[in-house]
Amino acid sequence: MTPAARLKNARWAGLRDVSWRAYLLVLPALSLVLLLFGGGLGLAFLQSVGLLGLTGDGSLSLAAYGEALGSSQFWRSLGLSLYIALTTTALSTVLSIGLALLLRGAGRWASFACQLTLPIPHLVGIAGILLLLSPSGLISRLLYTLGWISTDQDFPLLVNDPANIGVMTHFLWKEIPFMTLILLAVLRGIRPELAMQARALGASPWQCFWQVTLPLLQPGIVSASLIVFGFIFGNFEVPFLLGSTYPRTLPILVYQAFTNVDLNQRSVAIALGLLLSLISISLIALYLWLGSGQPFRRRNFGGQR
Amino acid sequence: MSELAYCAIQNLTKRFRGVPAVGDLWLEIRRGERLALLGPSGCGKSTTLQLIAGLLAPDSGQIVLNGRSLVGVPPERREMALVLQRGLLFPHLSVGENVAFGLKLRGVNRAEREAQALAMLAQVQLSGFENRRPAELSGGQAQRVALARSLVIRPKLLLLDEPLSALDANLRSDMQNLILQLQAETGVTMLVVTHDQSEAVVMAHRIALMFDGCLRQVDTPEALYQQPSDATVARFFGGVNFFEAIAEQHCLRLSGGNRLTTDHPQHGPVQVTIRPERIHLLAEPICGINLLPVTITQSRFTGTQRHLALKTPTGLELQAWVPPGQSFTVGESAFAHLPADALWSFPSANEPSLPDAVAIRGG
Repeated sequence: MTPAARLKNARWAGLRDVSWRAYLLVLPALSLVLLLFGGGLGLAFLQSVGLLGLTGDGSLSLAAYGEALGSSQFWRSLGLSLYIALTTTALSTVLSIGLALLLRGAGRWASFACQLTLPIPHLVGIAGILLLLSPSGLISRLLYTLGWISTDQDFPLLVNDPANIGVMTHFLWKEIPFMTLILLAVLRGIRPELAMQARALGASPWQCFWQVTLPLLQPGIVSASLIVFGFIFGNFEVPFLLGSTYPRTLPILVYQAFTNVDLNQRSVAIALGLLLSLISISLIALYLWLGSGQPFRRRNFGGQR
Repeated sequence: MSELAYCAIQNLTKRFRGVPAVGDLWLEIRRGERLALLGPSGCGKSTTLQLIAGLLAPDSGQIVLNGRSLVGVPPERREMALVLQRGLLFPHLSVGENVAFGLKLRGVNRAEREAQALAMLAQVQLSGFENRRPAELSGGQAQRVALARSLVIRPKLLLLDEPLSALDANLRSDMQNLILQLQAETGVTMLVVTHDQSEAVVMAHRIALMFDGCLRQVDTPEALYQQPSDATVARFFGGVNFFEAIAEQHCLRLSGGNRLTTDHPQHGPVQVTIRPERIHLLAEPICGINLLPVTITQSRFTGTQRHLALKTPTGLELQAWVPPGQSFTVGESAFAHLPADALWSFPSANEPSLPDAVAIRGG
């Protein structure tokens, strides 16, 4: 038997070792997931290709996809969604890494503080952002009182603005503590002697960060930023309430198509939703592949052999 | 500072929250020397090592390496290398990348550093391991990689912190040999921290013995065994025989009236010690000098030796380690010969008492 075959065999043997009770115990949860998620996905797919439509003749057609992909609005919305999700994810990743490093030596209170924003609903956060950043908001009034601006017209537009500052501020407020919490846990698992060892081998603090701390932190960074990206990319209520009025993000486009009086738009909405999921999943897969370091890893140390 | 000193540690002091960990330490290391910093755990030896490596800042004192003061010099510019207890490898790098780590930091180009790393791996007998991950190595292999990683940067001073304590006995002696061999090949000056006196004896030219943050005796292994500066040192090296006497030059008068002759003159009340393995046990009083009649009160076979507990008619109790072939039974009478060159003494009042339960941080 070749080593590869033996490995494959061993893997299956590992699965066979699991008792039938374990499979039985997993069954209820698994069937629920399959029924609700898989079933929903299947129905959505059937609707999007015209097989289960409310309108039309019930024959297979890719018209909904054609309409979705053919509209310039789709591409603008995709651009906007990517812009918001990528910018916010990148910003919160960088800031969270810095914050986690700062709080590394702090006690349990640091982790506790990071959990404070977790239970606050997004809607409450959105209301807070509106109260703070809108042209008649607290900050605007404070600046007016201080005499820094003469009317609320002088206050920069930070809510429902084309640059989506309000949306991103909200996401940063929500996601930085979340990411910091994850990164803190990973950091605490890295043995402090490793940094000591690196220093003693000639690494400056900066080199120590790039060569040792960051690579060891990488799995945490990848998973935390994935969760944040996936969440922001698919989020509806924040850009809906705080975002620019045109263009709108992809989830809003889906919502608008779905609630359109024209029932034909229903299948377009579902096609859009599936496209949104597909884009999200592909980006996550690409990111995981890059994050694993697989494409960059050199197999042979010391050159040609 | 003497001419010979390559690395001089002067007046080094470190406190943790007011508690002294290292107090007024003076130590000189010669070029190419293997020096062991030996002491029980918590005596401040690891703290000393971290002070030398620059990972901790001393409260006072300085370290001079090769004529250059290291005050305020960060660890990365001290031209030293440190090997820690478990051969702590970077888990995200392959074995080869681990060895090349220090060279990469120094800006050595890839081809050059990989060639050097491979050569170094061959020296620690790990050729072919360069593409493995650290998780795939045994403890001994990891420690060898750590050693290679430190030596490849050609440090001026190689610091080893308990490098063998995580390894099992067989592996430990292999590693000892490897370290000694590599040190001989590279000529690197080496400071090894250990709590194991047998390890210090094998690995070092000289041993600096440390108790409670202070150096007690810096000497060759032989001197520490045969001529300890006080009873604490003697006990640390396995000394078990201690008795009071009045010394008049070469003559030691014991309390029971016995007289012994020593090669090491002293004066006044002294504490006498003799290594248990230096006591000869004779069935008949063959030679007349330094013989004490004894009764054997206990006999224990240890495999390589027979450990005997002896008692003289005057009540003096001694322990003698004799070759396993010598068969003495409990209750039997014999004569203990205490060779004059093996009898060592120090003034009775000389033994400084250790401060009670001073909390010392670090190992």
